[in-house]
Formats: sequence, structure tokens, C-alpha cells
Amino acid sequence: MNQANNSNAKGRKKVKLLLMMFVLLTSLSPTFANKLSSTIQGLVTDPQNVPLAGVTIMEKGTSNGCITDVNGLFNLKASVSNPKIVFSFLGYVRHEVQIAQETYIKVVMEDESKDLDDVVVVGYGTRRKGGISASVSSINSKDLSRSTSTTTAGALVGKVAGITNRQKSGTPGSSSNLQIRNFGTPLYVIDGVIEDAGNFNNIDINDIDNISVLKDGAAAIYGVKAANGVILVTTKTGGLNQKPQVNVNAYTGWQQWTKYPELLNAYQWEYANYMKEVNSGTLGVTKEFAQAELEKWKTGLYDATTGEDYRGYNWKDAYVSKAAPQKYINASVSVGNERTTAYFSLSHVDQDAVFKDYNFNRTNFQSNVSTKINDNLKVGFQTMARIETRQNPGLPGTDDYALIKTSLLGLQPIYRPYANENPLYLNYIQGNDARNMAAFDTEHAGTFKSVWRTLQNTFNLDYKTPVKGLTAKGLFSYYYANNAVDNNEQGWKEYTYNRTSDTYDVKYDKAASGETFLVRTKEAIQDMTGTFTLNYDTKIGENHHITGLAGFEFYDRQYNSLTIQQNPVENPFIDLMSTNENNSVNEAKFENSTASFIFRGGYDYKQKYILDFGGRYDGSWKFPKGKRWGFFPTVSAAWRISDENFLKNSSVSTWLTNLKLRASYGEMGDDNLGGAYPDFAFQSGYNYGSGSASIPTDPTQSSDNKLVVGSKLKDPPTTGISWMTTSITNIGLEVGFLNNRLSAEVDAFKRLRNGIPAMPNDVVFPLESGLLTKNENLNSDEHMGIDGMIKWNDHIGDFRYFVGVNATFSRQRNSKVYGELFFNALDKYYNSTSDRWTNVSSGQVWMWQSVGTFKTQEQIDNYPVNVDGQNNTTLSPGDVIFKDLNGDGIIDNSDKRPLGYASVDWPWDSSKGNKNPLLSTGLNFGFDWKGIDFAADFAGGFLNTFVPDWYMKWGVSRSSNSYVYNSLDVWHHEDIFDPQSPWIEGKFPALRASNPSTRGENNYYSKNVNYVRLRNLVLGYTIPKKLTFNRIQKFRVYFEGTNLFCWDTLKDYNIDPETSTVNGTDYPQSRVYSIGVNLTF
Amino acid sequence: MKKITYLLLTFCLTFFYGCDEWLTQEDSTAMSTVQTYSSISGINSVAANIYSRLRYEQDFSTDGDSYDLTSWDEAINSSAYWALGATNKNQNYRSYYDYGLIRDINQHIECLKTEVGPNVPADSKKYFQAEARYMRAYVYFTLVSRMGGVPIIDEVTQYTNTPLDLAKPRNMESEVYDYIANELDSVTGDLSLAISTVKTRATKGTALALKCRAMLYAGTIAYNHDKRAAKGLILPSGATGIDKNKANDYLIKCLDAYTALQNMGIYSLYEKKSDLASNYADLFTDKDNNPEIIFCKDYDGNKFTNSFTMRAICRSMKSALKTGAQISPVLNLADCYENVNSHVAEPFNPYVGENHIEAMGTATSTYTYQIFDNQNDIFEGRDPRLSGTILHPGSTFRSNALDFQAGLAVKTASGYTFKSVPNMDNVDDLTLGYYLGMKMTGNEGPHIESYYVSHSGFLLRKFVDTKSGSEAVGASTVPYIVFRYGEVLLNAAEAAFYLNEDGITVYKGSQTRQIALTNINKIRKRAGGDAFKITDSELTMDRIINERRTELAFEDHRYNDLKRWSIANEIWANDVNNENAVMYGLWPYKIYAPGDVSDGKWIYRKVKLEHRGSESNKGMPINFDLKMYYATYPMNQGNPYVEKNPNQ
Repeated sequence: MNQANNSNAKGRKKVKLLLMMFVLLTSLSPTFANKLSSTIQGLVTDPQNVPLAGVTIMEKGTSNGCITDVNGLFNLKASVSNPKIVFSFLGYVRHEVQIAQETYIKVVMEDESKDLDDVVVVGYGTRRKGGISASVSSINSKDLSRSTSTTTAGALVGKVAGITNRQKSGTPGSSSNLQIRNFGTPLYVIDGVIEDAGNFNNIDINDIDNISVLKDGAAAIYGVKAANGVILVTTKTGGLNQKPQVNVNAYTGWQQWTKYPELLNAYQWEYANYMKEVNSGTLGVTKEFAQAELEKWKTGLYDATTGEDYRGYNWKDAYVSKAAPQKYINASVSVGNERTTAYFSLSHVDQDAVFKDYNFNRTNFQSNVSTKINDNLKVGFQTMARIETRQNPGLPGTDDYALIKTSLLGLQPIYRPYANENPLYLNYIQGNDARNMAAFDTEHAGTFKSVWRTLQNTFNLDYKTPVKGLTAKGLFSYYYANNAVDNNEQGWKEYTYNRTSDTYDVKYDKAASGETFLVRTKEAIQDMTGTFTLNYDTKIGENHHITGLAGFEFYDRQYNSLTIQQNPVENPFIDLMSTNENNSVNEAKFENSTASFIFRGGYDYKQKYILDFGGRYDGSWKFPKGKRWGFFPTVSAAWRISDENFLKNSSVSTWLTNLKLRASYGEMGDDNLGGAYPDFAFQSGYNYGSGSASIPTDPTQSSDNKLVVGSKLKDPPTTGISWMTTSITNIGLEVGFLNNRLSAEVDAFKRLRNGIPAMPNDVVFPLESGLLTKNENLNSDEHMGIDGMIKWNDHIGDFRYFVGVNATFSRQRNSKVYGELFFNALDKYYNSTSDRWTNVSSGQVWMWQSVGTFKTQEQIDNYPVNVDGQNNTTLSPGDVIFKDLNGDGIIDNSDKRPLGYASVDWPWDSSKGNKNPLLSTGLNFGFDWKGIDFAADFAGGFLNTFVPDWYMKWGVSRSSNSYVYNSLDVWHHEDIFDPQSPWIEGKFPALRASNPSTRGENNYYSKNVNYVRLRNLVLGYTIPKKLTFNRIQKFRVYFEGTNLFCWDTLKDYNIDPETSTVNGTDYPQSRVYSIGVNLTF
Repeated sequence: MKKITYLLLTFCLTFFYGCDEWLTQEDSTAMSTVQTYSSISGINSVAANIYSRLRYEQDFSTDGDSYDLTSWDEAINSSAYWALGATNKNQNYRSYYDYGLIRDINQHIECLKTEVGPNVPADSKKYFQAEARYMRAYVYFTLVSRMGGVPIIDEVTQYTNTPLDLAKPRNMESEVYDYIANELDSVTGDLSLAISTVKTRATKGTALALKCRAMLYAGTIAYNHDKRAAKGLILPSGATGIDKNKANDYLIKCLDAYTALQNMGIYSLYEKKSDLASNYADLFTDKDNNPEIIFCKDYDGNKFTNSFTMRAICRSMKSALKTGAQISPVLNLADCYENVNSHVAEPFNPYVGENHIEAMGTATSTYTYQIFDNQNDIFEGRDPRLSGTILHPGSTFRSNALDFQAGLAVKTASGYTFKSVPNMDNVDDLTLGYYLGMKMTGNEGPHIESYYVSHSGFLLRKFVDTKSGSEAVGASTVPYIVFRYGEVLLNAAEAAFYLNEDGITVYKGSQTRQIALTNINKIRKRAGGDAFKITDSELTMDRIINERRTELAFEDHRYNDLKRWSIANEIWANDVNNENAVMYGLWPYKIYAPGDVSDGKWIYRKVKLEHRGSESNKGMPINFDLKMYYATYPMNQGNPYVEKNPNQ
């Protein structure tokens, strides 16, 4: 009841908010005068025949012009007869019309496509696509916003060449592990300001105008942070002389898990356990008793008076929703007059998890305003702000999803959530204290709430100097983010019902166990970024184009955090922190800074021969004085062969529109040396806060003990280490056919990384010295691969369609690994890491190769190879036969060989391995026809390996629930209680306490992971204007499905192919069905 | 226009020159050496770090340390499956080589000489220097007692490109002991600057107690030279093994330290309560004016915490589900407590006639048991330290009688059938926990397989906080005593005993044998009253061994003692027939025989504890082989001079 009221109130609040948003936005729109007398009249529409408002129409060569009204209509009083009229509108191709006799014309504006004149954002500026010599992928707002992902990374997946990804967890607000060419975490730059992945992922995707991905050496313009590539985001702005345009996009969706392995029900669980116990000879009860019990489980016997209960419980059905809501609304207005442009946007996304009381929601504010003070000086001001809230039950542990995920598998299906079915008393589940999922809501467990509040203000200055072609640009940005964590982990009790005394006995009491926590964390981040550049851009004659850029940049980040914790909680009813002897306080702070000098020069001849070079002189706080500065150069060149006369003048030019060859080389640094070079390792002194003792502070005066926090001598200063240096070589080819209706790009790349820190193992300090050898820049590795895309874009009448494919293949290889010594070739084969694919050398892909399974006991008895290491005495029919690779008659570690791709998940530690697939692909296609639009985005990952463990491998156990596939589809006896009865074949080996087929990594259980998933499918319909009484410019309704379908090689397990935990308990990605509406007026 | 250009140019230049400052950040977690040594508080902070790193294997701070208590023949663990099935230790046990700590202390000593600021009073500075050298001596004692001789490094090693220069061969075992003695001698003077009530930082008493212990260890190793040679424990280089002729010198130094400590006049045995068992137990929990504590690690239950009481408390008083009753003392230890009057330690025999050993899981028995009216009867007449150290059937704790009952012994025609609850979770369950209306198993167990309940029939009393609430996480305020006067008395007694055996009958005018007897009797009188004192003829090596085992139980002496006496491999022989190496429990059963005179009375079963070893090898005997007298010596690449330890 209470809840219903709450959600109503929530709903009303939202409506109010929306209303306010509209009022605000519409009132901001200035009105524009349009009083030209008409000589030429016309209508401007988009390709879907929807009238376009705000299109700028100019008479060429004059300042005479107008813009279209809300109905797309215009009147232009031309100054000459037969004028040339230019139509321009943001997002559409510029269009010129030579007027002959007409006084009424209809103009269809073409969508901006992969045109050579497209403007692409590159480091510290923009370039026309045709004039680029580096490898840059870009994506525009239209393709990006086709997603229900709440993160930018999620919306990018599968749409851009060069991007690889893997989304390991589908928890609300979590993002995909996005990388450029598998290089590692990229650098994110949003509107010229360096940002972290969190900021990148939490911009509203509808506020993004375009994203550029710098994949090669051109990234060197971003210096010491750019070694893993750069992702540049540009947000939307208004256009000059643009009529106010309000866009609203809203959808509501329902999420459910894509894949989760089927769990056993109570009967199946008992059945499989008995089977296992009989097979292992450990059945602790008589056969008759077991059979009788099993029968009761089968029928689900329940007697409320005696409490006899064999019904079991389906925890997953009860506590995992199949339709968790997700809602989104974005409203924006863009507007501009002849001096000022503006873009304002407000959006809100609200996503529930499939678990009760788990929610993520975010509100974004964005405003981009710029104005010309005079003809030479433009100033701009941008504000980006957001409120990002994660709220969920205050479960134990730092990850509040961890316990609920493991409980889902862990809770045996024979137990029920409430003692004696009484919802007032949580049932105590034997061996699973604090695991009852009924307690996992805010009512029992308390609330965890984290709110990030961020605000970024950026001031831009753009000054056209009197020197022709020379402009000066300045940018100053101040970013402030604050995270407030209110964690109130309450206690709950678990009971056992005592039928005799009709009492509920407390079996577990979280509060009494001292496991209640009241935690407050305040984190604050302050970033300051300043950039000043001088840009030179001039043409000498018609053909020689020269550009230049020089400038400097400074960046500073300050971080502070303060955590206060009370444990156990003094008073669970007061959600306020107060002084208490159980309080603990923890503060942390640091400041990072960099400074850089940037330059770049470019020359092109008719955009036919293009040469760019640049560099950056970067200083990082991480290194001591005198070792701070590094120079990172880049050079790139391109040749547009299609512009050569021999092609232009040949018949080839009728179908070959564009042919460009590119090559680039750049060097970058990486000052993120991780644990090999901790912060301030170059300084000596004492680290405070290491160890403590309760001792008198001055033993010559007093013997009263006091807690004295210890200080530990720092290691001797590390001065012999510097950043890793990276160089990327890239060769690319761009082709366009048939007026660029078919375009393709392919790039081959190689990244060399030198100076990966390692300990020189030939410089060994005796242990007695108490010293450790310092890390040095010793090792190197390389990434190599290709990426590319093909896109076809055309129309048949008013049926317009596109198909695009992209793929990225990148594999890592160790080059030099310092100081490896081997005793013989075999030792080298097994243990060498030098000059070897990284996945092979990191060891987790070494497996036994399965060559079939034993079918009969006779086959086992006569088998010449000792498969189980115990002379095959533990084998039974159904067990896996491993290949005796070295032919020594016994299967041991030397029979393993590399059988996996990429880096395999590390079975014990999910932070290791977990690399993105070697090959990431995307397929996008769509069409629109008479107001109907359709688009589908597929994303695929290939060449990765999943190594299952625990119950994913072992099958059923009494101490946990388990999965159906390897607990029931197994080799078993005809009568499971009679070990003498004949074997019946199954897919997996017979269940036993110890199953020799699972004793080591082998490719019977481990699977190479390949998948293609339909990440996104959109079907929309734009309602004809007459139905909306011309009040609304565009009224589109759509259905969008996310992750509707996935083809993968993990069918046996039915787990999501992107997950990482070895026991299958990950929160997989969600399938989302949503319906939405776009409004433009 | 020009103005703007100049402005920008100026800005540029300022920026360029300001860059280095811009890129210089401050480490908020660190202090410079000068800052650190400018004040007492900075120096204290370094000292606190070093104190926290001194190794006391069984202090109360971590779970692992309480597991260590259950590794040998004092107790077994009952906390969780991994500890239940704990297998034996090997030669890596207590392998210790913390030269990182040595280097930090050396640097501390160096800085105390050169970096101390003018605000630190001269006396304090002197004290800190002495304290640092005490701590270094303590680390070397930890090293030598585990590893044998180690290289003595007493200057700060500097980072170098030729690290081989820093490699040093092992010093002789005797050299390390000599070094410890000399260092301690040279700092006792300055340590006396600490006021007499200081117990948690080094004092003169601490240094003397350490010296007394170290010299006894060195003396014993020398004294047992021949025995050790026969076991192959002597390295020709002297890195392990000490010449027999050095024994007396060390033993006299042990007595010197004892005498000096005695002469300080501030330490004495704790004798506050008339109830001797309680007095003994209080010795470890009473922190106020406890004259026996020389040096301890103190816990305040608030900021500097330990959870030992939470882990060890009896099951009925535990604070949380997976805690409590983790340490089950074994019958082997209980057997060693002598009869107060007869001075004989007779193993408990619950049977009529010959003693038996039963399997824990046996459900029936035809043995003839002694029948006791009260649970306590079997413990009558024993050394009160038994009840002061362990909780046994019939004990009370925090004024509550403890409910020890393994099960019901249902009398049958041929003997008994034993009924007990299948799982301690069901102990009060009216169907699973009851037999014909009788509760089968007591809340304290013992139980064969549930966790967090006694397995042996005993629980720990020593060190367990008696304050209510102290069983919560981190709430115990019981100190971990490193040195106490009782130990010093026993050390001196033992040293004097050896001297007498070696023919040195007089030390500073006193008969050495008399010193031994007097000291032992001081301990025994405190333990069991005048009747418990022994006569000269009763003073034997075995008596000393047993006295240390009982008086110092659970204080991390047993393992070291058996090693230095060179009998560890005999006592803990890996042999299922060796009654010292196999652990036993004593399980109380209530007789169920309605109508019979024995109904409601008690019998005990002596059971072999199954909780050490694998599933297939339950009840494995403790294994201490010859490799374990000296722990594994780290063979490090950087030091070509190091020598392996014997038998490894």
C-alpha cells in the first residue's frame, strides 16, 4: 500500500518535472523575424518528406537570406533574377540550386553521410574528412542514439571500426569495457577537456553530436596519456540563424536477463545428489529411505500441520524479475540567431535492476552557448552537469550485487524463504547464514545510496587575429564532482520454527554479530584544464593549403575523500552519523598535474597530397624534477589517388569516387606504470599509516597507552624508471564507389610498446640487504591487427537503406622479456614468454585436449594411457579421454598445450585475464520508407575463451544449488540407486565426489567464445504531419529491442558470452523491450 | 592588438617557468625524514610501526595466530572445515627472514643518531636509541631461534648497482646469541629511563627478560650439543649448533639477567586471589598493577583491537554465528597437571581397570566405565592450573555452569549405546536433539563434526576475557603477554639446574640446585599452595619439562622448548602408536538408565581426536621431523654464501 502511494507520488513528480522542462525550454526560444517579401517560395523537407524548420537559405554571393518556418516553408526575395540559392542545415548536406524560371521549388535535404566534406574532429581542431591523413573513425549522433544503453560505451559497441568491447556485467549503470584496438583504457576527451571513463559513459547519448576515435599515431597530439588511443566527444550546439527546435525523446522499457544457466529444482537437486552419492559410494542413508524421500520431493508433499515440506522453492523465479522497468526522457532545444547559438538539454534515465530495490538513475543537464562579441571574437560557455544515483539494499561487502548473485546459485532449492511460511520470520537456511534472498531488500538490509553530482563549466574563446588565417583559441574548464555515499547496512534475523513449542528461534542475528554498518563517504574531484592554441590556416593560391597549430595545455586534478564508518551501528533507527566509540575515519587526497606544449603542421595540395606532422612536449607530475618532460612526435601522410588525372580522366572515375592511401607513425608515452612505480616512489621519507601500536607516547614520563599510528620507512627512491613509450604505425586505404554510395576503409596497424616496467632478474639483492631490485623500463610488447569497415548507402525510389559492416582484429604479443633463462627446449616451450602471443605466455590457455569419452568399462580397462594419474582406477564410462601429447603414457601437466584464444578468464581471480575478444565486429543495416524506419545493429566477438570452474564444471553438490546441464545430462546408471545397473549415456561425465575429467583445465569444459548478438533493433513510424494538425514538426513512435537475440558457442552452458566469472553467477546483460516517442516542434 | 599579444606572450613565459612548480605535487601520505625525526610524535610513529611488525606467532591480532595455538599438543582447532582438516606443519613452518624490518630498524637507529630535532629531550632520545636496539635484538632473537645463525647486519644497507657486495655469509648461531646479549647489555642502562610501570615499550626489565630467555635457548642448544649432533643438527660452519663448552657461559648469563631483573624489585608473581585456579586465570586478564607482566602487547578493545575472546569463547556465550569455541584443548595437555598432593601426573583414566582409547564415532561400547556423580569428580585433586587454563566439564565461566555433554549413554544389557545430536544446530530441537524426552547433547558439545563447538570436551579459559561483551568483534582487552616474571623464574631454574648438572654448583654464593628448586617452588606454591612444593629429590629434568608445559601452556613456549631440548622429533613422532603425538579428548556422557541407580550420573570416554589430517587419514599424529629443528633457510640468488639448514 505504502509502496503504491510512493510510486504514484514519484509518477506525479515526474510529470511535473516534465512540464517544467517544457515550459523552461520553450520560453527560452527567441522569436525570429522573417519579413522578406516573396519572389521565390518553397518547401524544404528531409528525405522522409518531413518539413524542416530553421534551414538557412542564402542567395549566393550576398548577405541576403532567410530561414524556413515550422512548416518548412520559405519566402526569399532575391536581389537578382535567376539567383543561385544555397540551403544549409546542421546534419544535412549543403545544397545549391540554380533558379531558372521557377518561383516555387521543393528541396530535399540529404542527410549528412560519409561525404568527403564531412567535418571530422581531430586533436585540437577539425578537418574535412577528405583532408585527413590519420586513422580516425567517427560516428554521428544519429547512429549513436540508436540505443537503450545507459552508457556511451554501450551505445558505441559494434558501430565503429577499431573499437573492441566486452560487457562483463549487466548491472544498471555498469559499462562495457571499451578499448581501441585492444590497446587498453583509452583517453577520453570531451569538448577539448580530458575526462575519465565515468564522465564519458554518463553523458546523455542524445547530447552527443559526434565521436571521433583516434586510432593511430595521430593520438600523439595528446601525449603521455594517449598511448591507448583517444576518444574525442563533441556535444551538440545550436546553429547560427536556426529557428528554435525542441526535441523530445522518451521511452519506457522492460528488461530481463539474456541468459542464465538453468538451475535445478528441489526434486532434480535431490535426484542428482543421490546419483552422485551412489556413484561415489557415499550415500549416507539406506537406498529405501532415499527412494522414499525422492518420491516425496517428486510429488512436492506438504503438510502444514506437521511441517513436512517437500515443495522446494524456485529462488530465481521469486527474486529475479523478468520485466524490470527502464525509463528515459530527453528534451532539448537548439536555437541560434546571427550572433548567438544555444543548445539546452535536460534528460533523465531511470533503470531498475532485475533484483528488488536496486535502482540506477541519472539526470543530465547540458547547455552550450556561444556568441560573437564582434566579427573577430567569439566566446562560448558550456555547462555539463549530472546527478547520478545508485541505490540498492545495503548488503554486506563493497559490491552489493556480489552476495545476491552468489546466493542465487548458492541457495539449495529445498529451502524456503520464510520459517513456517510466516512472512514475519525469515527462514534460517542451514549452512547459508545471511544468504536468504528474502532479506535482500531495503526493508531488511538497509539502504546503500551513492550520488555523484558533477558540474563542468567550460569557457571558450575564439579570436580571429588581424593576421589572415591566424586564430587564437582559449579554453578554460573547471570540473567538480562530488560523490556522497550513504550506506546503512542494517541487521536482520533469521529464524527456525520450533513446532513443539510454537516459537521462532533466532538462528542468525546480523546486528548481534556486529555486522551492521553506517558509512558515509564524501569524495570530491576537481579538475582544471586550460588550453591555449594559435591556429594558422591559409591557402596559397588555389592549391596549397597550409595549417599550423601551436599551443600549450595544463591539467590538474585534485581528489579528496573522507569516509566515516560506525560498526556496529549504535542505533539502527537513526540514519545519522554521530560520535561513537565504534567510529572510524579515513581520509585520502592527492593531486595530479600535467603540462604540455603542442604543435602541429600540415600541408596539402588540393587535398590530393596530404602531409601532417605534429608533436607534444609533455610533463608529468609522476616523475622527479629533471625527468618530467618527454617529446612525442607524429607524422602522417595521405595520397588521394582518385584525384590524380590519370584516374579522373579515365572511365574508372565513373564508379570510383574516392581512393586514398594513408600512412602514419606516432610516438606516445604512458606514465601509468601501476604497481611498478607507485606515486612518489622517487621520494624518500616515511609513509604514515602503516601499522600501529598501543604504547605510551613518552615512556620516560608516563605508562598510559595510546594508539600510535605507525610510519614505515619508504623504499629507497626509484629514479631509474620513466614512462613506457609506445609507437603506432598505421597504413590505411579508403575507397568510395559510385559517388560514395559504397565506401570502405581498411587499416593495418602495429603498436610497439617499449619500456614496460619489470625487475631486472640478473640484478639480485641478497635478502639480507632488505632491499629489492628496482623496476626498470625493460620489456616490450606489440599489438598488431587490422580494422576496417564497408558501408553501402542508397535508395530505390523513396526506399532508402544502408548496410554497414565493421571489424577489428587485434592481438597482443610479447616482444622482449628481460632475462629469461631456459634449461632446454622443452622448458622454453612451456615457460617462455619472450616473443610469444601474450595469451600463450600467460599460461591460462594451456589445457588438455579432449579426444572423446570412454563408452564402456572395458574400454577403460584396456586403455593404454593413464588418464587420471591413478592408473585409470577412478575412471568410469562417460569420462573424458585426454590426448597423451608427449606419448609418455600418463596425462600430466606436460600434456597441456595452448588451446585458447585471447586471455582466458583466470579461474580464481576475475580481475586477471578478462580481455576483450581478439576480433570484434559490427553489422548495421536499416531502411526507411514512407515514414517507416528500421535499423538493426549486430555486434560480435570472436576468439576468446571461457574457462568454467566450480559448479559450472563439477555439477551438483549438497552445499549449493547447481546447474541442470551438467547435473542431469550426465552418464548415469539405469537405476541410479544400483551401481551395478548398466550405464546410460549423457553429455557430461557421471557425477562423483571427485571427477577426474574436471581435474585440470581441458577443452571439454573450456569453450572458445564466438558470438554475434543483435544489440539493437529499432522500428519506428513517423506519423504524417496532417495527423498532428501541423502542430508538431515530427512525431515518431518506435519500438526498440536490445539484445533480442544472441548466437554464441556457449549453448551448453547458456551463459552470456561476455560474462567473466567462472561459476556463471555474473549479472548478465539484459534484453530490453522498449517503446518510445520522438517529438520535434 | 599588440597589447594582447604581449599579454599572451608574458602569460606563455610565466607558464613555462611555472611548469616545474605546477608539476610538483605533495604526497599527503608521507613525511620527509627530517619531519619525522623532528618530534617525539614522529619518532613514536616509526617505533609504533616497528612494534607492530615484531613477530609474536600467537598474539591475538589475527585469526591465523589463534590457529597457531592449535598446531601442536596443546589444542586442536574446531573453527571451520579448513582448520578441522588441518594437516601437519612442515619445515617451512615459522620460516622467518624479515631483513626488511632489520633494515628499517637500522635506518631508525641511524636517524636517531643524526636526524633528531632539537625539540626532543636528550633523555627521550637516549631512550629511543636504546629501544630501537632492543627491537633489533628481538628480531635477531626471532631469527636465530627459528633459522639458526643468520648474517648480522647492523648498518643501513644502501641501494647499489653491485648488490653482490651486500651479500654476507651466515654468522654462527653462537655469534648471533652473543650479539643479542651484547646489544641488550649495552642498552639496559638507557632503557631504565622509562618509568617502571611501562609494560608495552621496551624497558630494562624487557631487555633482561629477553636476555634471560635468549641465553637459556643458547645454553640449552650448547648443553644438548651431543644429542643434536646425533640428530645431524650441527653445521660445520657453526651456522647451526653451539659448542658444548659454551653452555655454562650462556647459562650463567641467563642467571645474570634473572638476577638483575630480580634486583630491580618491581616484578613478582601475581598472587591476588585465594582461589588458586581463578588467581592463575586472572594473571592473564588483569592488567591493573599486575606485577608479573614485564612486557605485553596491549589491546584497548576500541581502537587497538583483537577478537581472540570472540574466537575462543564458549559456544553458549558466543556473539555471532561463525565464532566461538574455536580452540579445543586436548586431553594430552590435561593429563599433565599433577595431583596436588602426590605430585604425580597420572593420565586421566575414565575406565575401571585398564585405560582405553575409543573412536569418536563409535555408537556402542562394552567397556566398564567409572561412574561419577558429578562431572567435576574426575578432575578432583588436580593442579588448580588445570581449571585455570582450560574449561572442562563441571567448569563455570562468567558465573555460568557450562553444559558439556557429548551425548546420552543409554544403558543396554551389554554396555552402552551413545546418542548424540547429528548437528549442533539442532541441539535444542525437540525431535532431532532429544532422545525419549532427554536432551542428548549439551550446548558446549563436544561434537564430532559441527564447527564452532568443542571437539575434545574442553575449551580454553586462559586469555579469554571475562568481561561481558568482550566476545564481540575486537572487544577483548586481554593483553598478549610476551615476557612475564613466572617465565623468568622457570628460565633461571632450568639454567641453574643445568649448571649444577655440569658441575657448577655455586652461582654468586648460592647453590645452583637450590636456585632451581626455590624458583620452581615459587611457581608451584602460587599454583597449588604449599602442598604442591617439591622436595630436592623430586627435582628432575622431566619435572622441569612438565612444569613449563603446564605453567606456560598456550604461551608459545612448548614448540620452542621441545626444539631446544632436542626432543621434539621424539615427542611428536609421526607414529599412530605414539600417545604423545596422537591427540585425545575426554567426552562426558550422561547415563540414561531409567530405574537404574546410575541414571543421570556421568561417564567419560577417552576418544582419539580425528581433526588432524585428511579425510582418509583422520587423527593423524603430529609430525615433527628432523628438518624442522631449523626452519627452511631461504636460498636466495643474491647471496651465494648462504648455507642450507641441516637435514634439508
